[in-house]
Amino acid sequence: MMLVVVTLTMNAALLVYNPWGMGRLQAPTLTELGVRSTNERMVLYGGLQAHYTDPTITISDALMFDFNLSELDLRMLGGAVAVNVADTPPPDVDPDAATHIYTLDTGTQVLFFAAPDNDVIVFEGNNQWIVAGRGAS
Amino acid sequence: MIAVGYVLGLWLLGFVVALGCFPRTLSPVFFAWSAYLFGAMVWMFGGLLMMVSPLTYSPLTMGVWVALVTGVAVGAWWVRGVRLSWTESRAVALVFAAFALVAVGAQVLRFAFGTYDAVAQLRFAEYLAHNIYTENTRILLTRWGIFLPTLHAPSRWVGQPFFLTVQPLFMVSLLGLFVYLTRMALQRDYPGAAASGWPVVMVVIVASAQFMVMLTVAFYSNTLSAAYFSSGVLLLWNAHRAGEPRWVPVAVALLAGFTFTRTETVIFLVPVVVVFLAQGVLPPRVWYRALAPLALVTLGWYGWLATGNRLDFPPEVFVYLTPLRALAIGLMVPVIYPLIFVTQLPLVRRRLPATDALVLGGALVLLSGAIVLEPQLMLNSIYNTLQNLFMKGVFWWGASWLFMVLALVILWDAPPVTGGRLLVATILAFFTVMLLLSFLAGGSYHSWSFRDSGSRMSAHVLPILAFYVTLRAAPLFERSTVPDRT
Repeated sequence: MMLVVVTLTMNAALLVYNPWGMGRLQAPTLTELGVRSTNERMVLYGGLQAHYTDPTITISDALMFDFNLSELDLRMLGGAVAVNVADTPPPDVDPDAATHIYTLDTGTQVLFFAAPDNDVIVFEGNNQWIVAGRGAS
Repeated sequence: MIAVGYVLGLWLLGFVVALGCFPRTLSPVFFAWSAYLFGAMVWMFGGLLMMVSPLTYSPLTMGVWVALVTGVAVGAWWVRGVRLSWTESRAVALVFAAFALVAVGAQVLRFAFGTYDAVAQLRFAEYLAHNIYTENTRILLTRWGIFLPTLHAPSRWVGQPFFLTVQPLFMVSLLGLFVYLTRMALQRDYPGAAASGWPVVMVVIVASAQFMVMLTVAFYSNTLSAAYFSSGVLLLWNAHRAGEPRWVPVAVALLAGFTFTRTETVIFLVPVVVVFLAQGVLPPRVWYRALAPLALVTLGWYGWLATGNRLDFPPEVFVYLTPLRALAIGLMVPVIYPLIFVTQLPLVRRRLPATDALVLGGALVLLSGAIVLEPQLMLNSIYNTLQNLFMKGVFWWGASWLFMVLALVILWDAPPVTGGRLLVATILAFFTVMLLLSFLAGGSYHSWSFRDSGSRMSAHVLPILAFYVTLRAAPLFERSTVPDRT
């Protein structure tokens, strides 16, 4: 019986601690997608990996799909999300100041950067710079 | 609320179909707990039919499919005179209410989780909903099972990216059937333990593992696999233990659902079925009949995947499920037929009690061979699987796997469970096949990660291990008057 109590206590503690960030679907800003919620980071990760695993899925598609997956209210962002892909970083982003680095199963490293605008996320993978969100250009 | 109506509609469909197909085999309460599994399976087979035929997957064709199946099932009710008593109706209504409550809760609370595998399958659902068959569709088809996408595809028809209600009801089915089938098993020798809260405590230990909670809300096929596989095996075990042949087709139907949840699931199914049928407790004709639809459907589907089809698969797009592998998997269930015949030979019959040990021994020989051929790959996979369940994996599995192992150590001297060897053989064969997959799939080992496919697959067998532990511990909850049998 002691074993049952210890097991249930440990399981309950883990559920409260929630290290993998399972949570309710909300409508965070795009910056929050990249930095705050593990759950939504994982969703974003999934979309990116979809692209890097299968190049027929465009980054734009992958991200749009993830926005759907998170059920973000795109209207809150002022309309459709724009995605811009470029070979060089945006002028106001320091390329040496990545805030998060994810290594996908394919080996591709994706670096996330602090965005000057709260409504965009900026990341780099396979030497491509991607800016996504309202105001991306 | 469309998402709630959709899953409750699947429940009603499944209840009507299950009672129509298997009247007077098991209690209507069993079919109430398994109704969602049967309804989802009917829907999946409809989607599969649309894929392999010139028909398209659309609200109209799927509506006609559901209407046809419902019509046939209602006709079967009428012809076979299926009637529910007041007590049965009330119990069934209560189970339905539990499903409805969870569906509404899932929609209101909006918990969700997903990674690449989930994204890919939901993407496939989108393609299926709009009948988009591109190069990417082909790649997706060879990597993931058809089941989960067919269930989520209708969400796209109503402008939603997925249904939040679909996954949680599979977990409710799994847990409800676990308690029902565990009580059924205990009733024979330990009625006191069956009536105690012990099966409920065990289900809480399984369900409270964070990984199981994650599977309740995540868009993974493993939730479906765990529900179909564990309930099918537990019912098969009960059929074997009670010598009740009428339960075998129901169990095989549940296992048929399992075979379509993922591309590799048939490989797990075959050793389990062989272990059970070789015991000779249930007559061969029962197995011949029960396995026939499954053999036909798996051969048809995997044959379709293997030989190319109207999508005109070029061989190079098969990354995981190559045409040869698809054909081999498609032939696995039909190959059981000659095995049934062999088990009837007098020479073999005399040695049947050792068949579970033979199957297990064969699996271990294969595993040893794989270790010799690819030592680094296989040892990595074994080490990482242990990490996932008992070491670092405690951060996603909680203490549930540790509990099962420690409980078995404590219960080492407990009276043996009649038929327990079948459960042990099933669990060990499952892990052996799981490890062999890393060898067969072309050299990718299981990693220690909560995203690892092996870690998720372990969820398929955890309820079976919990069932075994429940039976081993049952004497603690009752002074049985029934003599122990071995």
